[in-house]
Amino acid sequence: MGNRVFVTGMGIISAIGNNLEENYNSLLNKEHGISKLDILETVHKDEIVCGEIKLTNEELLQRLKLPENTTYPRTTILAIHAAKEAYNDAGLANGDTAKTGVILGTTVGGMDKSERYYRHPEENTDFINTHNCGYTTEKVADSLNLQDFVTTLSTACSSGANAIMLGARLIKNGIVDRAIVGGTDSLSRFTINGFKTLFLLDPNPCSPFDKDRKGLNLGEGAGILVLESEKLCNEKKKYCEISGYANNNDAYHQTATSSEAKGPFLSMKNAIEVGKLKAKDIDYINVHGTGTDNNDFTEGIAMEKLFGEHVPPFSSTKSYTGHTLGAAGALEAIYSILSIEYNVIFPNLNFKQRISELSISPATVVIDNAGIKNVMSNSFGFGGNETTLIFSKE
Amino acid sequence: MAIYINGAQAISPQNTFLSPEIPKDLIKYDGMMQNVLPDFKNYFNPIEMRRMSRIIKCSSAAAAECINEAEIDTLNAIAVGTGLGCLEDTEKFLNKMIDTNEGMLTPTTFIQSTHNTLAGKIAIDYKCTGANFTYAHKTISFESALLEAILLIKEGNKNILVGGVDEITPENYNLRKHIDHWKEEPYNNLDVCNSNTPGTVAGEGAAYFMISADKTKNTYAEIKMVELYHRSNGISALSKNLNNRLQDAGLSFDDIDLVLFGYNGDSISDTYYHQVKDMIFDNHVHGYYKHYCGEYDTSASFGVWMATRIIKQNDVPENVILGKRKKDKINNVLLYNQENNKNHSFIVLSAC
Repeated sequence: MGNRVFVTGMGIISAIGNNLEENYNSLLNKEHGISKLDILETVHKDEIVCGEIKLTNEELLQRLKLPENTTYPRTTILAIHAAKEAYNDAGLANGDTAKTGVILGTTVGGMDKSERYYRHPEENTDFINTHNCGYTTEKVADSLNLQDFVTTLSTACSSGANAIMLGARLIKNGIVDRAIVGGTDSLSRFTINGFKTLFLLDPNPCSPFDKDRKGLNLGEGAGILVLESEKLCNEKKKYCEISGYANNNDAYHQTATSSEAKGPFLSMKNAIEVGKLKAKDIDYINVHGTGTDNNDFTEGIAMEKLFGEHVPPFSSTKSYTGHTLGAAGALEAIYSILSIEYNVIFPNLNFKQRISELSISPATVVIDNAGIKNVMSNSFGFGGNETTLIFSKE
Repeated sequence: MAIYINGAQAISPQNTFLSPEIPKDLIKYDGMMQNVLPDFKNYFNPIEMRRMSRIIKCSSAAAAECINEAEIDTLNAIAVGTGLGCLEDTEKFLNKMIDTNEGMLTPTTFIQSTHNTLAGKIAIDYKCTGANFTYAHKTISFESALLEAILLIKEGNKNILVGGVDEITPENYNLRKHIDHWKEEPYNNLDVCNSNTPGTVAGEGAAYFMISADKTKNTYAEIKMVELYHRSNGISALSKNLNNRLQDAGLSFDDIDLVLFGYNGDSISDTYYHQVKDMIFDNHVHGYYKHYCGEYDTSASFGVWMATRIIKQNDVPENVILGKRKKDKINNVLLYNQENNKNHSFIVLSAC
């Protein structure tokens, strides 16, 4: 049935930390990263809060030992930052010869530069070439000296999850032996204004799955995972196996999920099937849980439909990081894997009251010794794009 | 496992849409090449006509005709490649945001600016709840979608709709003049293969293919190979890798009857085609296609459309042939595309 796929390295940067350890500690200590904007300039900065990484591009470039006049978009810088950590974490170094794919997901690409220079291209023409989604993936490949296979997905808020899924399938099918996968997105005025027109932004820190939830907070970040085939990582530390995955479409509306939640139900159900698991095997769900009316309600409906009376403990870590769009699936994959690694369930912040139409509510305190073997991670996006990943303890 | 193309429709700057053959008379352009548009009223209601941008209409119309042509029972999944997605909607939202200093904006263009609007719309129209992927990686966006379809077929699916869709807008055309992306006007699209100047010719297109597990009366060709190399590592490594992969597909270099090159008129980037042509495929029949469609991120999808017609008609039009060599029977066509010695893609289609 193809090669087994293991996660052997992870790297992350988000509003709750610049590396794996900082992210883990913030999750354990219930320290969220939602704040007023300090770095991104927008006229809406006093009306909204975001999951902003409090390092300027210059500071990030310095950490990466890149020249300060480097013109990479922020999306690219964040991805390289996380990729270097992941590659080191997997014990890899430049010059490794295994056939490797680099597959990332992003939605805004180089938009932060484009929106700045669009009307003044004579000032800086670099943005014209750095705008496209693939630019970042190629820079990550260059930074690790990887030359075999590079591609990019852009499926809105499930982009990062879909990149992980493709990497796993390429290894399973023997097309590559190792894959550097994940997602990245920076905050931009384009997305802030876009979500504002849709009235989806909560002016305060979001409260996923709460009865009175008011919407999402946008965030930024990058999460990168190193996936390896069984034969490559035989002797190595493995975080977990990628056992299940599925992508389905709700086929209902570009920006809203159907009330019967057909797409989310199918992606969860199919991922369990691909993993040759049963619903009862899932020990924790890191939900998509954006904090919007539509998402949390429909995701809850889908979970109740699939798991019946026995919905596993679940939480939305977007209450820590905000919704990082194309990075979300990757950040949350990493949090799901940390949950397996430390046998712990991270709480959902700001939850007060159950949604009246649902009979389930999220975990609100840290649950230690949670007996975690299989974790499900959901990422749903515009265009009805629904992805579920399942990570299993080895 | 054999994988077939059971539908192939392309809206392009030439009269290709719904055409069983490659048009012999080319429309000449001296600037950017834009799609010859079908009558969209046949495909969309008045509300959609007003709301949807040109690229979404081209994408959905081409997809609809491809699905019709393939006569499938069930559409299992959709994979679309688009380098820059819905540019016009992106530009509209961006301009309004700048003009109003982030003032009163409306959501439609923001929603439609998302790359996966195209694949999402088809899923809604056909109630396709299967996998739905959008690849946005420069000049291999389409090939990535094609590779996705091959994986999906291997995983047990029967019919996958695969698209290559991009648009050129006047605004983007003018923007890229700042980086000398295009040739100086007036240029001639018919000259993409005899150019000594840098810069390429701007094009666009929407091509859709039904990639299927079963051969039917509608089958155009079999897909024998889709191979991508981010960097080639030199001609001899490339030649060796290609040879191995062709062997995996039961073929050798000698079996290739026609090599379709992605020459785009940029004298710098085109040198890499020259190298592969002269050093790997020197004795083969050569052809090219971007004088039909111009250059854009998913132009390789137009090349695949052309190859489906060449194989089905067993005819290579005169203005596609590069050089003097010809062949009576075209069984195996290899398409080669690249961008400044990066993102090399090789696709082999075979008669069946």
